Amino acid sequence: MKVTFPHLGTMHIFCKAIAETAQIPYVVPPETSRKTLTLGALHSNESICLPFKIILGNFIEALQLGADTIVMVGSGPPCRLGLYDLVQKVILEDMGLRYRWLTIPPRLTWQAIWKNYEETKELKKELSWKNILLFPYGLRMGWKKMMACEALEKLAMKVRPREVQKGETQKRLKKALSGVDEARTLRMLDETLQRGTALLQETEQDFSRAPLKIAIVGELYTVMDPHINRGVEQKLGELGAEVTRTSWFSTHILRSLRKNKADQTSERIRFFEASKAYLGYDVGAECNLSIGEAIVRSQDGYDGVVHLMPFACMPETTASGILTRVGKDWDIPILTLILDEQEIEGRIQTLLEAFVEMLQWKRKAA
Amino acid sequence: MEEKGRIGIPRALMFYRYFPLWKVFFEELGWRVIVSDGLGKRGKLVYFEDSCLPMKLLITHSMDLKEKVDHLFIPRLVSLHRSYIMCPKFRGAPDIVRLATEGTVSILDETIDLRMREHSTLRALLKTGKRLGVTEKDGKRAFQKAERFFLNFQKGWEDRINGLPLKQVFHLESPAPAKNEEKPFRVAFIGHPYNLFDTDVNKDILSFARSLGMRIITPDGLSEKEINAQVSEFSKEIYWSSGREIVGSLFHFLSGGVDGVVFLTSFKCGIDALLQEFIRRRLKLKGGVSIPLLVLSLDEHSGREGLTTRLEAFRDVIEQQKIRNPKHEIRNNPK
Amino acid sequence: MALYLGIDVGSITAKMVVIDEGDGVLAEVYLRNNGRPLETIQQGLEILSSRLGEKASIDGVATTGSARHLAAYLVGADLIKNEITAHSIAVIDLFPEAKTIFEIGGQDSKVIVLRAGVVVDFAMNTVCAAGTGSFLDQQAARLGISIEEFGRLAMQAKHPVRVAGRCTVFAETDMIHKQQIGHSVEDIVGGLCDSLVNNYLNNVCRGKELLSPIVFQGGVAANGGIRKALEKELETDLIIPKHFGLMGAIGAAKLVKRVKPVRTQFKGFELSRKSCSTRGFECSECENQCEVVELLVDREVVACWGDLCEKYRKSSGLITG
Repeated sequence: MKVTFPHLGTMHIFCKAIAETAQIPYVVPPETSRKTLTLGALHSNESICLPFKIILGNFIEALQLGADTIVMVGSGPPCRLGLYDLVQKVILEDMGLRYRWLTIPPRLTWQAIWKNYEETKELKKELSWKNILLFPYGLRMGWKKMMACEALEKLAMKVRPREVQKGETQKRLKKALSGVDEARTLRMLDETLQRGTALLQETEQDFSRAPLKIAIVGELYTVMDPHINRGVEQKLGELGAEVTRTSWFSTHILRSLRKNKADQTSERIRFFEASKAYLGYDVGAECNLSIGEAIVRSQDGYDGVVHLMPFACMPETTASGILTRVGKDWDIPILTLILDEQEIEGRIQTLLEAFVEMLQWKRKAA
Repeated sequence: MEEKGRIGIPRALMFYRYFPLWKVFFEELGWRVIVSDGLGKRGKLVYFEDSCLPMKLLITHSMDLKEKVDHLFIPRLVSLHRSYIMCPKFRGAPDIVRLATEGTVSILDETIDLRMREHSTLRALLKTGKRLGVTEKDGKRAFQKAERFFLNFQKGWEDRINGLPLKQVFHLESPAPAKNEEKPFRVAFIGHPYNLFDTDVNKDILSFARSLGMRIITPDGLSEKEINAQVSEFSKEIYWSSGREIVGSLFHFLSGGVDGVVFLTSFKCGIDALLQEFIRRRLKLKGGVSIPLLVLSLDEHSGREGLTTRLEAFRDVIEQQKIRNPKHEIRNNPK
Repeated sequence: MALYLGIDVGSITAKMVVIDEGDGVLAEVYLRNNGRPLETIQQGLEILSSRLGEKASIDGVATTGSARHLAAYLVGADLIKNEITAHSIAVIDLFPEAKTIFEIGGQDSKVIVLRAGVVVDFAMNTVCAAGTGSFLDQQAARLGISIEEFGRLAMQAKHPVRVAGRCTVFAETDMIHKQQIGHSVEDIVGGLCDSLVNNYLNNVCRGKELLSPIVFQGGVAANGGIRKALEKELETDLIIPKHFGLMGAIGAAKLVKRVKPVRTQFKGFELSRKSCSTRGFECSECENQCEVVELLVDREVVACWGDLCEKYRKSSGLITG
């Protein structure tokens, strides 16, 4: 058995940690590249959303490298994400690739646990007692690594707009993240996190700057994965903006475990409430939150909002229609970027540069 | 009865299934129902957001009606089935229309979510009635009448779409033609009802199909059991009711009973895009089918010419198939 | 007198202008790229230098457009600016009253919303090219007429036909059909203009507040048919600046004039006589598989980019971009 999982931001780091700690053989799919996207797009329909194409590409590449078991977090209605597995399974089968599929239940319901039990029945036979015993430790390791990655990324978002040498923060972040990836024990992880934090903090910074504040909102794959959004977070940071976002793995995991106590989750409730002025119902996925966050950020004194969505994304299409009005009503500039498979990195750079300049003018005029 | 006021129903989305029910209900309560005009050839589409064409048409038709009526009826259709849901865009539809019309018209946007035990179409319409000052007793009476009319209307459905000019299919005062002329081909047309019956979406392709000698069969006549038989073995349940109906009826018809199947999809429809890929792959894995299948993608940019050319060619294909493989005739009787 | 050079290299054309302190345009060049931006820039420099005379010296250079970085490495630029800002700067000085800018170029189309001389909103096509100049080029080629003739014919359309076209291929099918059923070329060309304008207004400009005065610029502004279709649709007259095709380059030049570099990075007009080329390769050192590009002038690597780890930049002793 060789497990694999899709790429999404730093997810490969902690998925790998779980497998490694539990001593389960795994294959990390090659980093999402032009080739991944081309493969995914070639084997799907043009109007299917971008995350589908990229995840499919990751799976194809991983299976070609010898993986045989796909582990994927399940999802449900109302948007297409909940049926990715139904369609991706027939595509892989039709391509003649052999695989087994293991769904991690997104919500702990009896149905989901039963399905998971059914799927894992065969797989469990291939696991040794050692794998099973080590698994809880693996989960803990994975969770800690996830939190470490998030802490480093959040810190980088603060340092980036103040860096003196452009690109320095990104280099240091990369180094710090690979340190996390390499840590084998919880103690090593603690040390490496401290080292990484220090590394980022030691970046030469100009503290006299007052960076623009920009919130990134939108569909979660496009917000969380730099390959899908062509590095929007880094680009904005290097243009001198302090970026925030509320989509993190921990937010979504805590939310699905219904641990509402966490701050991030209660923040999401605040966004949802704010969206009610425009939307009378939960449209699904991040739609209402994109709208609500734009409103709340405007109240919080942010300079602008960047809204990310895949081309033809169902919930975010509704959001983008409403956001046009939110921007006017709340006097906050909102830039919607629609992402698809085309080579549009240059265009995104141009749009972001112009957006940042516009926000600077607006600030000066105020 | 004296006219209490005017209720506008945009000619879009689920109008193309439930209009008879809605219209009779409101009329029974003494309200006049005004329906938007079709877009026609030179009509202007309102681009408020960048959705599929049917959603843009909802906004366009609402804009057309806003000054002519007291209320717009745009129910929030979350779910029209015990277990399955509608497209998520339907959930925000009344809000989008409210923004597009800048709050200048009252919108009756009662939520219909039949997954909830306490919900029902009756309840939703009663609540809507309450906003119009209708008593529960009168509402119930109107609903019963509307429901009876609707069931009767559905019975005559196949004759209507094969006998009436397509633009008149929803003219409730036109009676269903008693008997349609014999046609050499039976062709199933699959898709969301608004893709199938909105002539502004499909450039009146059904009329053209009829002129090519096709008798039009639609999924409306299939029972839930027949649909379920086709979709129950999938690794995951398709949770959109329209998506289930599309996939289920498509596989149902492809297994016999018709000479050909045409699937009308909306460009930019998320459900269609995903399911289309699923259907294509699954058919391939099952070794293909003997009944010809044509997929036509529709949006405001598709020209009628491109559609008619393909449908004509498709007619030739099913004709050839019939000559080569006449045994289909025997199975040609679904019910 | 101080002179400033603005260079705007887009996907289809390269535009270059030299302005003086008083913003007067002393020399200008408008060339097609033909897929060879380096040669085109060199050619442009040669033309500019012949127009300005041998002695002219440049005090500052700025580049803009989608190939602004490439152009900057080649000529040695003091400022690199995105084209949205460059376009608005050019307009704000010339028409302080302007509230909207339409800019339709070869592969890009933009709308910029101005209020009191400041950009407050903008949009640019990201995924679709149906509202751009290359769409018109392709259709003109299809009809076997030049793009200039295309604009002239469109003005004569009496009853523009409705051409369906989300993208070029669909438009083509529909257009052939319209030809076959006997519509005049004028009406078809007129219909194509309507179709482009509709795509542009409904997709690029969706949700934007389009108030007049509106300035219309970019290569497509030369096309009378498009101008007419836009004016009809918006029921207002459009302002077309004298240098409508050069506005990006003018904006860039003005921006560098504001900066007034102490010592320009400009490599001089003699660059046009040197051999310039690029060399690309895929690095296979790690899984990033970067596509590294090196710029060579007289067979010497002068710039290098695309390597995420900056290995090649360092080894060539160059830190650029």
